[in-house]
Amino acid sequence: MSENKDYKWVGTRPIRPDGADKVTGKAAFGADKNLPGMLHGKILRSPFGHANIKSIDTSAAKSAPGVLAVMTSKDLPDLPSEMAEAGESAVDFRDLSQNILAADKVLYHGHAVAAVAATSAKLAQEALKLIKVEYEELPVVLEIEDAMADDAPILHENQFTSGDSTDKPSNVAAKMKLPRGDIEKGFAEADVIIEREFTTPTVHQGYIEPHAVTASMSASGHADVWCCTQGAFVVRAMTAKILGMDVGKVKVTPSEIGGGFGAKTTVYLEPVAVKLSEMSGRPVKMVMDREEILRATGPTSASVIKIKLGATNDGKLVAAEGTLKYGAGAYKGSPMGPGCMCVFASYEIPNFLVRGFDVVLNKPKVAAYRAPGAPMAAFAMESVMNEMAAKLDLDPIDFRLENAVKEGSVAAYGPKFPAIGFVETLKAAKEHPHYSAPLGKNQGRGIGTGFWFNVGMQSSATLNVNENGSVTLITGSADIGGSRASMALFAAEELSISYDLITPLVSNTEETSYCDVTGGSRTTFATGMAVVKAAKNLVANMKKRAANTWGVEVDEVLWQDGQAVPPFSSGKNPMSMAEIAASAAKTGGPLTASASLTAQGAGAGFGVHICDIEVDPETGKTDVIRYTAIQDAGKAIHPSYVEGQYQGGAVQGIGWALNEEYVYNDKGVLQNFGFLDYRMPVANDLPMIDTVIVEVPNPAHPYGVRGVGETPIVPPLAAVAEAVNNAVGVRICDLPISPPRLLAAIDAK
Amino acid sequence: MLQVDLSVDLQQFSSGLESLQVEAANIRELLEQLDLRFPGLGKKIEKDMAVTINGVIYQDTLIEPIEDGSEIYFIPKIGGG
Amino acid sequence: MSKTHVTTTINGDAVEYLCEPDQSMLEVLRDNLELTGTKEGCATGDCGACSVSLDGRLVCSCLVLGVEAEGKQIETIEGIANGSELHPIQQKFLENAALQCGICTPGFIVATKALLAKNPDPTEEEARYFLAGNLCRCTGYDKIIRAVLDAAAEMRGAAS
Ligand code: FES
Ligand code: FES
Repeated sequence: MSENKDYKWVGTRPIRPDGADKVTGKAAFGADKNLPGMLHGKILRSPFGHANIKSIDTSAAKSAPGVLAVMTSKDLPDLPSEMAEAGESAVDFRDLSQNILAADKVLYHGHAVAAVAATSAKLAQEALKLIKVEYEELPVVLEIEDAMADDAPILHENQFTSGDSTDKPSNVAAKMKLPRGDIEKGFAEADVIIEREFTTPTVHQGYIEPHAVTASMSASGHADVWCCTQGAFVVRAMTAKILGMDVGKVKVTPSEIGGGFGAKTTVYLEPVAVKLSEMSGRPVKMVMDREEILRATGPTSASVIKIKLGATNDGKLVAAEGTLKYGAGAYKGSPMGPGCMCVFASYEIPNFLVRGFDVVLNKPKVAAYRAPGAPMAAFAMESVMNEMAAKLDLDPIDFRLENAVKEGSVAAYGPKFPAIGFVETLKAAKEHPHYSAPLGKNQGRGIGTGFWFNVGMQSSATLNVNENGSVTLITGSADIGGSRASMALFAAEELSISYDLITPLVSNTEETSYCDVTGGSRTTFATGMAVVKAAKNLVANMKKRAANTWGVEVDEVLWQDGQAVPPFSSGKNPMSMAEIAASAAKTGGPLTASASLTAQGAGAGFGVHICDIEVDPETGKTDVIRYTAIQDAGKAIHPSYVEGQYQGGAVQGIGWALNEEYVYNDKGVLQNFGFLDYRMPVANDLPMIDTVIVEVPNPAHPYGVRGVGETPIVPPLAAVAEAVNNAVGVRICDLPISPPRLLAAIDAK
Repeated sequence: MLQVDLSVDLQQFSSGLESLQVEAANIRELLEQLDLRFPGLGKKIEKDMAVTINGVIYQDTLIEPIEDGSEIYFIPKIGGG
Repeated sequence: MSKTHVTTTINGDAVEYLCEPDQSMLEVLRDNLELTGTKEGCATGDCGACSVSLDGRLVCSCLVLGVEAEGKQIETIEGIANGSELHPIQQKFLENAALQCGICTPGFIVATKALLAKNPDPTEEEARYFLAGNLCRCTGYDKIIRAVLDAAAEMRGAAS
């Protein structure tokens, strides 16, 4: 089916169904939910980067004006350390609970310590000042290498490196090793060997919408939660677990979500708001401010990555060694695993060894951020690939083509690749006019490539046919970038009716079947599969209804242009979907179809970016002047939103490369806690971002879809760095390439 | 027969054995067989890992059928942003 | 703290409200008046999600006090469409897929209207500089800028 290019709806660019509400201000986001009698909750946060909590006295706050509830970790059940599935990846609920409200220790500046609910936000804020916390300050450890040192201050006395047989607690939570062949032999065969170390700073996802929740606990013990999340069912699971509640008694209604990029796949406020509501008997609303978001939510890991690469003079990779250290923040769980699996995944390398380290630090616990772990790994590997191409005097794309993985290649992380589009994507980049366009003075061009696995996981979809033949399409997958439009396109295509007849909705956890988080680029792939399956069921059912009406065999009935078509011999007229719906009562009742699945076979996504920059040699300021993002989408369902993913991911990567960075003082206090100093790209920093959608169908999907959301953030870091190198002749291995750093490097040359 | 290769991290369960042959018709049987041979291995994989059958990644499923002669490999589970 | 009585005009409607002297215009709009189309991204004047027009001037409503609205004309995202008919800027944002999550969209639309009132025929660069106070983390700005230039062309066409 993926061969069939003659789609009527799939591949078109209709206006998204939720669009009108979003351009008129009607769409309700996380902070837009209010309830009668609602209280406002605020969080007291640690003033120290690392400290023992000796005592917390909340008595004065409890009797402050307007205050109805005060809570600390004592009000949460003491959970055992236990890894459990929570949708996207396993989490340790004990860590999660203690991240939400610290128990014995605060592990980063801004770590939540207590919470207050009061009749106004201002009174809640005032009451926080009355909570007395006695701390015993401890030394902070902020850098990965420092945390791994023998004499490092230890964050968790009961954490031992998993897999190591030692009884000495360590900040290294886990190690990983991925070998192939014999690297000594491999490097011995190499004509050229390059070895370099790279660092990337802690950066934040930077969604514009703050975390927000409104929760109401009924006297019957049933909690109602409204929040902005990438996965309502995951919020439900985590909230129930942290509060010791039955999941069936927690209802989570997802609002529109103002960006997440991975960080809204976990919880910070929801269990606290529910508990405060239970304690006060009133609904409680909590909204973070930007400072809290930057200090205490989801950044992604800082990294230290060393790559050694060996190639022969004719451009064949023969050996590679990678040591990847990722900072996890306060609790274990950096994206070290996927980083290690990605780092050499794009190339055929006969001998390699990858080692990974997951290291805790006195910084907020990292959360997922677009292709978690991959951008740092690719920054290192792709930078060395660019340098190697230059040393071997090969075109960087030709060099990659020589070594690129293709169908049948054994991926560095183990399995064999099915049909993938890396070669096609590289060729599209080489043929793109951008690649050969002339450059001016102080300008340079660089490329970078990126890989992401993409994931499937669980999804459900329901189609209800209304009495006039229009359709309500219900899923539980949060729509963060136009996925409702894609879901409606799938349904329109399968039912062969107009897109406008379909109303796609994202429902709450009680009114739709289970869907995992929107993340890992899975929604169009996996929830789309569920929609296609449900639509096929619906068509089969409608054909049966028509066949019964006509008294013919069901396999004689065709489905065409939104109608059941009888066999010519029957002499009957076709029945439109509206007619079948109108007579549904007499043919077996309302027309509805559902499908649920655990989607398998998510196709790997490869991207190649071409970046031109211009450096101002006086100031060291780097401007991106032309940019092209090329990526295999398998099949683009709504091309505008596929392009949007390429563009948005590329720009996040550009920000990572050039500006963004968490700056701490030596006490572990974040210095740039607002958008003024945590500087993300703005409109006048950028050119248009050109896109090319390559389509190598994913054989495991009925329409050939691969996820597209993650891969675009992977290539830019190395592409930007290489462009800078080609402009001014310095290789920057430590991000960001900020003006002072670049200036110093140019001066040192 | 299935050809099962174990990553270095899993070889701690198999006393260093890198690959083995197993008879199984689906993922559930495969994990049961592994647990019989090396106690804890199947459970560890079910909890933390995805199964790849001839290169295709299967995550969170026990029912996927496996054809005779397939190549089996295990990788850490993958999430995403 | 005693509250201040404010008489103002919002999206053409005469409005009166009581607000605290230190309450921002953004808080008044969102919390007191339930006009939640105006968004908060930072409350420090750095993201533009809260953009409104105050007597025709584009402002970050998080940096304006509620009491400053006395006797003034405010226009928010809720007042841009003409009844159920979308403004050309809104229409072009939709057609160009200039929003992904949409949280920045109200601010961009209000800011774009201010830009085009001043400069009906902006170059790409002028549009980028004028909108530099509005953050979008999803789109990379490409489709937003295209929507703005498209809307400008359409509005010039309609005006001539
Ligand atoms: S909320 Fe006003 S500028 Fe960000
Ligand atoms: S569309 Fe999400 S921030 Fe702009």
